[in-house]
Formats: sequence, C-alpha cells, structure tokens
Amino acid sequence: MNEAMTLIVGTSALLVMIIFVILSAFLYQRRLLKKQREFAEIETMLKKQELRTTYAVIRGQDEERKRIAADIHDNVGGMLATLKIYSDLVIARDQDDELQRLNRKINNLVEDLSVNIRKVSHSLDSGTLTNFGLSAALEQLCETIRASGKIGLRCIIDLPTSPGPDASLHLYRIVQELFTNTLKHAGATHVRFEISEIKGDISIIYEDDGVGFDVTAVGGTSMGLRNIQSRTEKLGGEISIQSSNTGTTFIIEISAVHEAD
Amino acid sequence: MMLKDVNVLLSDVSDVSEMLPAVAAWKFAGRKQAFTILTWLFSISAPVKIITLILARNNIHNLEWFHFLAMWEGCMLFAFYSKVLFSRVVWWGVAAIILIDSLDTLLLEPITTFNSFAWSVNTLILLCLGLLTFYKLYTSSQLIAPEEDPMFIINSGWMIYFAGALFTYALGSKILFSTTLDFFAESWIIVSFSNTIKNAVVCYGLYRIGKQ
Repeated sequence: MNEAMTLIVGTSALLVMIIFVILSAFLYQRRLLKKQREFAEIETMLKKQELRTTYAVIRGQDEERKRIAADIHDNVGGMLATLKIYSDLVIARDQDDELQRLNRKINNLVEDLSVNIRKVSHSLDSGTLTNFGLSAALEQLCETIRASGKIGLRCIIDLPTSPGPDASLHLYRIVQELFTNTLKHAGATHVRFEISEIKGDISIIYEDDGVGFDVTAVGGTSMGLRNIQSRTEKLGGEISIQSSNTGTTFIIEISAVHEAD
Repeated sequence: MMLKDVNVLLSDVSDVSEMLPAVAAWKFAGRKQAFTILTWLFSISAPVKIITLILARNNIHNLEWFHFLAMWEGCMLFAFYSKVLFSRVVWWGVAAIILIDSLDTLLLEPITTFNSFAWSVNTLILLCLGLLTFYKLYTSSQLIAPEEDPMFIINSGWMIYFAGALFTYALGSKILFSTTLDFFAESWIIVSFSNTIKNAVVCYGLYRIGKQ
C-alpha cells in the first residue's frame, strides 16, 4: 500500500510540476510574442507616418512654388501694368521730345519686364519640367524622394529625346501619381522606376514591394489610378497593372508619343 | 472491462503508437540538426517495442529487450538533448549512460529481470536535461510561438513521458512481478498512458518541422 501511495503521489506531483513548467513556458513565450507584435505594429505606424511626411514635403514644395508664381503674377504683374498706364499717360500729355523719348524707353522696359515676369511665373508654376525638360524633372523628383531616406529608390531614366511639353506634363504627372500612391498606401520599402524611349515609343516600368491592392476593386474608385489611366489614354498608351501582397507593377507603353502630343 | 484489460490494451496501444513518431521522423525530420537523432531513436525503438509486444503475446520472455531499450533510449535522448543545449553531442555523457546501464545489468538487476534502476536513472537525467531545454527556450532570442515551435512541442511530449514514467520505472520490478490484485499491480498503465501521449505529441512536433 505504501508503494502504491508513493507511486501515485510521486507521479502526480511530478506530472503537476511538469505541466506547470510547460504552461509557464507557453504563457511566457506568448507574452513575449505579443509584445514583439506590438513593437512591430508601432514600427509600422511610425514608418507610415514618415512616408506621409515625405509625401507632404513633395506636395508642399509643389504648392509653395505655385503660391510664389501666383504672387509674382498677381502682385508684381499688376503693379507693372499700372506703371505702364502711368507711363502711357505721361507720353500722351508731355510735349517735351526728350522726356517723351525717355518715357518711351521706360514704357518699353516695363513691357519687357512684364513679359519676363510672366515667363518666370509660368516656369515656376510648371517647375523644372518647362525649364529643363522631362528627364531633369523626373531626376529631380527621384532625388527628392531618395533624399527623404524613407524608401529605397532605383531610377533609370533613358530619354534621348524629350517629348513635347504637353506629353511631358502628362508623363510627369503619371510618374508623380505612381510615387504618391506608393508613399500614401503601399507601405513599400523599395521602388524601381524605369522610363525609356525608343523611336518615340515610351515605356514606363514601375515596381514597388508594398502590400499591393485589388486592381479590379480599387481601379474603379481610386482617383489617383483613374488619373493615371486617363492621362495614359490621352497619350494613346496602354497600361497594365499587376498587384499582389508582395508588391505592385505598373507597365505603361505609349506609342509614338511625339505624334500624339 | 477490468483494470487489467485496460492495462493490457493501453500497453499494446503504447507500444504500437511508437510507430507514429518513427514515421513522422522519417517523413519530416530528415537531416535537420538534432532531430535526425530522434529519427535514429524511433527507427530502432519502434520495431523493438513491436517485437516485445509480439513476444509478450506469445508468452516469450522479453525483459532482455528492455535492457537494450533503456540503454538505446537513454543514449540517443542524451545525445539529442546535448545537441540541442550545447550544439554538440556530449560523448562522455553517452558513455556514462552506457556504463551505468551496463553495471546495473551486470551487478544489480540481471538481464532476466526488469531494469528499474537503469530506467529510473536515465529518466531522471533526461528530465533534468528537458528542464534545461525549457530554460534555453525561454531565454532564446528567437521568438517563435510555442505552439509552432517543434522543439517546445517535442520537449513537452518527452517531459510528460518522463514525469509519468519516473516513479513507475523506479518501482517497475515490483509492479511487473506483483502478485496482488490492487491498483499497484496494474499501475504500468501510467507508463503506457504517458508513453502514448508522448508519441502523439512528439509526432505533432515532428510534423511541425515539416511545416517550417
């Protein structure tokens, strides 16, 4: 009887101890895992916040340029117009030939100044694109995103000839929208962007390693995607989108873009 | 159904269930680190258990097989745990187990009797190594959900077996040769039960290796 008791009590005690150890190990590791998941979530949120900030900086720069352009156009342009009216009045009323000659000079200078101010204002509005062409504008866009350090970016720009101004603006806005989508929604860490032109045919390949999206569901509702599609259609091009939970690829092909422009 | 019948049935199930981790080890463990040692362990212990079962069914003496089994299981499990804990097989430990079990057979419990002492000492040593393995898992920098961690699952299976079997093994020679009709005489049921649980849990742990 004593041996039976020893057996039962001993085995039970040992079993209880072992089950307690296993349970403790299980609960301990679960708690650690939970904490790790929480840290990961915080990191994701911080990363999203950083990407949003980058996106805001790009948007902000654009807005600021537009505001300066509008100020120059409205204020300085307006004042120059008034100056010209006064100058015209002086020319009409003054009989002195020498003064009239000088006033005409002032008048011509004001006219030239107005034209130049308008040019500066317009070029500020459309930025590098108008001044230096599509390649430079895209390189600057890539550099701005790269400088933020929030996303790994590989840019390949191979445009031997620059498309016309309208086509350039459409292409620039398409690329800008692609980057915006990645920064806002994809949560990607790497982007590969390639644009090349061969005999007037332009192709854009844009890949990110973000969370992807349902092309059929989002395609109809997203303003950004519709914008890309409509601009591509305007250029007579075709767009194909492949998306999975490991990333998204856009391929845009535009034939003979110079003719379409 | 009498307790004796349940005991016999469960003992048979326990022996046959040894095939489960053997098959799982061959299928999933492959040559992955320490788990390959388990493949060797079950590849031998499963057929030996079946042999002991057949011998018992035919009323043929089979206790000498348990002397071999104690040594084989003790050595292989010591090798397995030392590989997990220290990343290498501690050969002097394996040699010590062989020595202890051999001395037990030669000096204390002859080959025709059940080797309680050898089983108990082996189980006690392995129980300590199992606890150390749990400690290693707590302090590991690699965080894996325990229900998905094959090492945690396999170690849990063995720990349940060790805890359930230690006292039964310690009293094994008295239990197996008891002439009474009380629970003590049928208490081998504890080993059979814990061994069956161990086989199921270890089998699942080995299956998780394949899932990784």
